[in-house]
Amino acid sequence: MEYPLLAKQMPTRIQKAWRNRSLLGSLIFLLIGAITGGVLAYFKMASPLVTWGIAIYFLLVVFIMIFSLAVIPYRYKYHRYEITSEDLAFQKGYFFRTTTFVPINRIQHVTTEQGPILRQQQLMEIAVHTAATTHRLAGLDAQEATELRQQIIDLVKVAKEDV
Amino acid sequence: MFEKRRYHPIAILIYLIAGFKKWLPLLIVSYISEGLTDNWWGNLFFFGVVLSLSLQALLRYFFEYYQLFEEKIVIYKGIFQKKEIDIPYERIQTIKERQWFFFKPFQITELLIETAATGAKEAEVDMSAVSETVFQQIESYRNQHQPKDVLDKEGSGAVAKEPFEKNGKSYTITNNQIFLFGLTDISVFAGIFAFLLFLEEYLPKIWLEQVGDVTLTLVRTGWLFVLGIAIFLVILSMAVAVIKNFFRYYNFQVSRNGQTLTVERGLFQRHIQKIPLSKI
Repeated sequence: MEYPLLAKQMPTRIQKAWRNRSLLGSLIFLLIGAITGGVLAYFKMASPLVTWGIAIYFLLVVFIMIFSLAVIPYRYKYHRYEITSEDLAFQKGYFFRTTTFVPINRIQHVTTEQGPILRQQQLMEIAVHTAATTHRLAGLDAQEATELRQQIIDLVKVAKEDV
Repeated sequence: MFEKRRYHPIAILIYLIAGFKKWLPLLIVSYISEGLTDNWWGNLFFFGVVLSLSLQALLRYFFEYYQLFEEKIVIYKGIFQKKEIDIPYERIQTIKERQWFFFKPFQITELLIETAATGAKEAEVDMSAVSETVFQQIESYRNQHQPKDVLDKEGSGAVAKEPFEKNGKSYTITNNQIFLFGLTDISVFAGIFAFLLFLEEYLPKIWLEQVGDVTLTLVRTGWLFVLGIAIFLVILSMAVAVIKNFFRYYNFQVSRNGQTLTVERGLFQRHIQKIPLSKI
C-alpha cells in the first residue's frame, strides 16, 4: 500500500534553508578541525596518529555534509502537516516515517521561531506545545505561519480542554 | 486589543539584580580568595562582569515585547533567533504576580504566566515589569473565556457547600502563627550548617586558626560561657527563621473570587498567584 501522505507541504524554499544550514554547519566543523590541526602542527604535536585522526574527522564531516545534502529532497517530500477541526497531524522521516496526530484540545500554546537562516528565506518555524511534548514544523511562509497559528488558537478556543 | 509594547524600563533593574544574584557567590569567593587586596586583575574581572551584565539587561529589555489580543497573549523575544510565544487565555494554568516593594509606587508588577506544557520549572512567559492594569486586563479576558458549564456543574456539587464566601477572604494567617512557625522551623539550621562548611572551604587558613585560638581561650574561661554562646546561637537562628518566614508569609491569604483561587503572601516581594478552579 502506498504510504498515506498528508495534504500540506512546506514551501519549497525550506530546501534552500536546509541546504544553507547544512553547509554552514559543515563549514564551522571544518574550521574547528582546521584550527585544531593548525595549532597541533604549530606546537609540533602532529604525530602520525593525530594526522590520521584529523584526516578521518575531515572525511567524516564531508561525508555527513554530502549525505545530508543528498537527502534534502526526500526530507522535503515527507515533511508534511495537516490541520482539521479536531487534530493537527505532523509527518516526517523518509527511512523511518512517522505521523503524529495531536488533538486540538490538548494543545497548550504555540510558539514561532526564526533564526537568521530561516529569516533569509522568509520562513518561520512553528512549535506546538502540549502538556507532554513539543511538535515542530520546520518552516512555513511567514504569512502562512501567522495564519496557521491563528487557526490553531481559534480552534483551541472552541475545543474544550480536559487536561 | 493593545499595540506591541515593551515592558516598563524598571525591568532593566530587575534583570541586573537577577544577574548579580547569579554572580554574587563567585564574586565573593574570588574576592576573599584573592586575600582582600586591591589588584588590577580583580578589578578588571569585576568591571567585566558588571559591563556584560548591564549589556545583557539592556539587550533583553530592548528585544522583548508583549501584545494582548482578544483571545491570546503574544510575547516577542530574541535578537537573532526570533521567538514568538502565543498563549490562548483558556490554556493559562496559573498567573503568578510578583511585586517588589519598589514596584508599588509605579504600579508595576511582574507577571509569570504558566500553561500545562513541558518544562514546568520555568514559566512560559515572564513579563518582568508591566503595569497593574495589564494584569487586570488579562484577568478580565481570562474570566470571559472560562468554560461556563464548569461553573454550573460545581454550583450544584460539593464545592458550593464549602464555606467559601464569594469575593471574600476565606483564609488568612495571623502574625502569631507566622511567629510560631518561625520558631519551630529548623530548616534554617541546615542553611547555617552549609554556611559554616562554606566558610571552612573558602576562608583563608589564618582566619580559621585565629578563630580556633579564640575558641580555646573561651573554653578555658568556663563551660557556662560556652553554653551561653550555644544558647545565643540557637536564639539567633530562631530569629533568622522568624524574620525569613515573615518576609515570605507576611499577610498570607487564600481567597476565592468567582472561579479563581487567589493565594497572596510576602512582605518585600508580594507574591500573588491566581489559579482558575477548573484547572485544579
